[in-house]
Amino acid sequence: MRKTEPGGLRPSFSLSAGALTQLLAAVACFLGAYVLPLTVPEFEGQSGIILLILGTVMLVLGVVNVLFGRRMSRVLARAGRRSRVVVPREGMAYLAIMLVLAVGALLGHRNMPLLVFGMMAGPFVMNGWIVYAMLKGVTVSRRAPRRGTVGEFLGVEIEVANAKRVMASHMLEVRDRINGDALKNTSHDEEGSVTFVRVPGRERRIGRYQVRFTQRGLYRLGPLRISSRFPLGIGERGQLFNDTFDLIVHPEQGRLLPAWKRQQRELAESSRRVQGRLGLFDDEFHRIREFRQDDNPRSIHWRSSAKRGQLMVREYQQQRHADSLVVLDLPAESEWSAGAMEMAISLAATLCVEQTRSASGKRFLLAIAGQTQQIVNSRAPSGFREEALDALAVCRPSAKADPEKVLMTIIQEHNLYDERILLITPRTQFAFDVLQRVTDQVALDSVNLVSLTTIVEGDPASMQKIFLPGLTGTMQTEAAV
Amino acid sequence: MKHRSVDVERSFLNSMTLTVLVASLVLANAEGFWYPAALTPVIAGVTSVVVDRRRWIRLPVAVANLLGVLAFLMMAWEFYGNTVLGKLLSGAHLLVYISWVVLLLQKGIRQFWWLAALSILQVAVASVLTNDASFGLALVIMLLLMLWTLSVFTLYRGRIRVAMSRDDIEDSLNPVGAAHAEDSLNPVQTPTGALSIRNGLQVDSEEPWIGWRFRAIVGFAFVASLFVATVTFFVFPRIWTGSSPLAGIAEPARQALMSQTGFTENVQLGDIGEIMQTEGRVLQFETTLSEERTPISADEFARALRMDELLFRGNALGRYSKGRWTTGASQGRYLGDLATEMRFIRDPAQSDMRMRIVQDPPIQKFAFVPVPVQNVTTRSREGKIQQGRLSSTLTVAGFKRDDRFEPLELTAWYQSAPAGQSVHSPNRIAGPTDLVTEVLGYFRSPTQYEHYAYTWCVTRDLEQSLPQLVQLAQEICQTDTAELTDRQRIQAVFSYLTASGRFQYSLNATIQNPSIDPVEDFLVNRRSGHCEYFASACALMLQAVGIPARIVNGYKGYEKNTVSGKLEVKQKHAHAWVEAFVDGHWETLDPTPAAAREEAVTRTSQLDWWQDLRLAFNDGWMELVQRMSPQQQEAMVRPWLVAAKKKWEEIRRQGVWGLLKEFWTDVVMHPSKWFSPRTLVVTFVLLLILGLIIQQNPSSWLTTKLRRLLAWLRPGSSQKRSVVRFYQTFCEVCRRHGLLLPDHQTAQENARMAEHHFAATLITPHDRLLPFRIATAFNKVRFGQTELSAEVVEDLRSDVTRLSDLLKTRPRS
Repeated sequence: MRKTEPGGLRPSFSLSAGALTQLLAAVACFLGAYVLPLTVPEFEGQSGIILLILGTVMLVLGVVNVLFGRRMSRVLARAGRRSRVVVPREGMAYLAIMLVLAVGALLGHRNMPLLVFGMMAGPFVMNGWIVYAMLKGVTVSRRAPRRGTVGEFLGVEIEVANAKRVMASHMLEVRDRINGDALKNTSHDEEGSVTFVRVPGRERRIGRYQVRFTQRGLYRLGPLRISSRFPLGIGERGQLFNDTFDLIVHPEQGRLLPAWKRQQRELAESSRRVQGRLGLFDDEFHRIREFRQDDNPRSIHWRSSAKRGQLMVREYQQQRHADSLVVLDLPAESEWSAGAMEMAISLAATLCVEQTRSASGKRFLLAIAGQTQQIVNSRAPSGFREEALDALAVCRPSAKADPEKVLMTIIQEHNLYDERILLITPRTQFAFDVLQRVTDQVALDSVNLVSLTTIVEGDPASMQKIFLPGLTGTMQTEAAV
Repeated sequence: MKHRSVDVERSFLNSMTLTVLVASLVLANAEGFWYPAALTPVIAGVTSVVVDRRRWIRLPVAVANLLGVLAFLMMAWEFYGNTVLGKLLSGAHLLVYISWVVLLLQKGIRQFWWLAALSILQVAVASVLTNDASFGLALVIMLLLMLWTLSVFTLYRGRIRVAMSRDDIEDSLNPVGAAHAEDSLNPVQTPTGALSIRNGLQVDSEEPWIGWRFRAIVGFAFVASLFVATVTFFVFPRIWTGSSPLAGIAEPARQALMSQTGFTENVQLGDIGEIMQTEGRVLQFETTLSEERTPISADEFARALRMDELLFRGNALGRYSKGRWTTGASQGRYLGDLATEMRFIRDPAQSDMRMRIVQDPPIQKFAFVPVPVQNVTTRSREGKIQQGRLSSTLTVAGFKRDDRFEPLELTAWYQSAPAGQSVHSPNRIAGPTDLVTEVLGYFRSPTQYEHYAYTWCVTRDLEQSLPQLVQLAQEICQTDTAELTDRQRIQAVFSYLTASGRFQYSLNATIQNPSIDPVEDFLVNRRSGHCEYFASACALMLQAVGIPARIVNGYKGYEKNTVSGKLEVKQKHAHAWVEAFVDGHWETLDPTPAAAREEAVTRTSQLDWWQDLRLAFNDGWMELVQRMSPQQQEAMVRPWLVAAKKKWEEIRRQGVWGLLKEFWTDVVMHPSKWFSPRTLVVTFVLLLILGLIIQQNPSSWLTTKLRRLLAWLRPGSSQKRSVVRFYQTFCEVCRRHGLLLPDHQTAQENARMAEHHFAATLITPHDRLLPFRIATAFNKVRFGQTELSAEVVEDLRSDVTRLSDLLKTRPRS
């Protein structure tokens, strides 16, 4: 379907029932003004003039409706009128045949074509009535998850309620417009649709469509448009429900390669650690729990024991991975393809998610240097995961992307100890210089950004050494290559 | 799910095939030729299996285009150098050819729409070619088929659209559906590749796609559409301007519609026998008295004309040769007939009776009317009815070609025969009655009548052509004593044929001796035959003995249509009789054995009811559909307009209430008048109003209004309303001063709560009782159904005012 206006109540090629009615009324009035007095003299004089005026008004209205119907529809939709009956392409062909028959009958002085005309007019009128009745008392609502991931099907539930007492509604088609930055350049409306074969009176039915996004970003579902062409398909009534719903589509996550994981672990272990509360076995405090037999008495936490009135011990856990901070540099460079950039974002997402799964949770941080500078910092894994993925979903590259500023902010606002930094960037040399500059600028003895940072080059081949992108990512990579 | 979708698909394909089939048959029937439209059903049937179901043939688009071009070339070949009808038919044939091409294609949604449109167009073209009543029936069938097919098509499209966006497309779709993927449906993947969408389908698990509810909707749509179609047809303004370019285009079809009537100036012996075995209608008639148009029975009418049975006279033929009667002149007229055209009377007051005749088309030359007739008028503007003075034959003159295919409406004026007249023969002229006049008659020159009779109603050389007949006639009329008079000779011949017992009536006219003339064969060998043989033998025998005689073709008798109740003359009533010229005028003789003929004619066929029904339907069709015109429309609308004006005048005079009272006393109180158009209209209006009310959410709106109305109508309700209002004011006052009285509490409980809450303000015992007095009054009215006096209501008002004043002075906390 071609793109329609935002308040799209009608198909792209159609004639509104209002315009049709006005034009037909105009013809009827003119005919009445000239023909009725021939057979019924009572219509001579003033009645004829009234009919002529009425016909002219109807004609003007009809022409205006035909010419500016879409704009009027939009205005009316904004003003609250969200229901419209239109005659689609097939209906217009049907009307054309009727018109030819009527004209032919009048010119040929024959009743038989008029009979066929009548036999066509009957279903047309009845169809209009039934089509109108189909959507009477019908409401639509939608349920969808707030977040999705690129490459995964997302189920959207559409519920149709029929408030009519007896009459069932047949063949209702609910279309859910999908808008988003990624869809701005499409020539067609993107719509998910659910067809309801029958919704009985005073009942509701739930249908579902699935949508798979191939690009991350912020999407908006809605408005919902319900329409029916039942029974004949030559008339359509549409009703608009301004029910919109924002949906964030996260970047696709891949799988980190074991070699990369091993390398990172070794790097972490070799780095200098300043641990505040180490346990007996160089492990890290995990939690306080009740004293059990065989527990080391040195582990007893006396303050907690006094508070609780029973012996409590400190439990330590071996920390195998040091925390890593992910920094994503998104410069707008012509050499850096969109596919490679998306892969870099996907890698950042994968790293973030992976961290929340395995790390102890001392600190999670994601910094993005793109169109806007974003830093997501959290100690709760689940919260961080959602926030980080949300940020990665909407981040955009920019020529003004400044990783130096981001790094400075991290150092100044979020104290760094021995966290390793993973800097994903397409400009490695620039990144190295930045790290050096930042290190020099901050002049901290405890922090050497150059040694703490692993620069991951935003080149598909380099990134594929780190992780296996998802299906969509692979396709994009192939396209990029 | 799959099973259901297959049901929808199968049902759709079948109904689409049937629609195409019926449309093509309608066109073929209207066109009157089997080629090419009647081939469509065969092609539709074959392609339904081979292309749609089995997919054995997959016509490439290029080949389809080539076939389309061929179709256009064929149409062009038929179009050029053809008549208007031929050009129109070439267009119709193009529709048929394109239908064939589309049928051969792998069909998607668009192709099915094409097929539906082509079917409608074929029916549209057929409507130009025919006026047949069967076309109306075919239209009704087409309407039902179209409604059904398009409705199932909507289901089918929904199913296809959803199925195409699913991964399990191969599982859920049939072969035809799969074909849609290529040309009819939006691709699931967006052009930018940003989205993949699987559209959903919600199916009611308890209801099949094509269940009884679906059928009921289509059935309702059919009935309602038929109603709207009928109304549309009747109210559509007929603006017949100029001359029709399609005039006469449907002649073949019209001829097929009409029954065969009318005899020509040449009649072959045996023709009537064949006609008499058919049930086709010739004419309808009704008989009335001229004054006030009082209906009289046909038998009374016949008796008034001194006829045993009504005779509808057609052409008269006076010359016989080799089994064929002819007028001996052209155009059914004898020479001199036109110059001596009968003058009809113009003064309606001179006529006693009238006969209104509607003669079925096609109208040839003769109008069949009982004679003698004073005047015959027709509604046609151009055409008129003439009567030859010599032949007495009524002929149709000045009618347009098209008018001859329309029913001919005649009104004939009659005068009752004078009392005592035994033979009411045509063209009775005042002959010589006294001796002087008789003597003078020998010296005068022959009159026009005599000249005509002796010239055109005498067959020459009968001795050579029919020797046995002449010999027999002379033997019959031969006496030993004296020469018989003309009248005696007529009587002798008549008696020989009717009273001798030698001849029998039979519709079997098998010739025994082909070497002799059929009439001689009848007289000598067979001695049995139908009216034509009796009349021919009688006329020829009279001619053989010197009396001018002619046979007259027409109809004798009638039947009543059991469906429409109208009197009808059918082909089986065809009859031949004799007119003999005697004493200067023509006398009617009917030598056919009446009883035997009557028995043969009234022998009913088993399908008489069907014939009557068909004829009644044809009449209705002709009257209401085929001949619908502005005048007809006016005639239909006029009574309603007059009634509406009359009703409006009555309303202005009596007012609505007076009219309702009159309706009550005149109609409602008289059950015998309940079933009348008037009550029908009133019932319709009332139901319409009720329907409109029900549409406006009656459950809340109507009940509220009714409740208010009842409350308003109830006596003493104003006091009750006052008390309720005081209680409400009391609650409102309490609320305003910080006490919200819950709805679920009784009035007494609320009063107690108010007393407690405002204890600091309501100090005196009288004041402390204020809330209780209001609550008690409210309870009395609300539940006790008691009426309060005006004084009590006034006290309540002062109580509420006092409470309000007290609380106003209360210090705010």
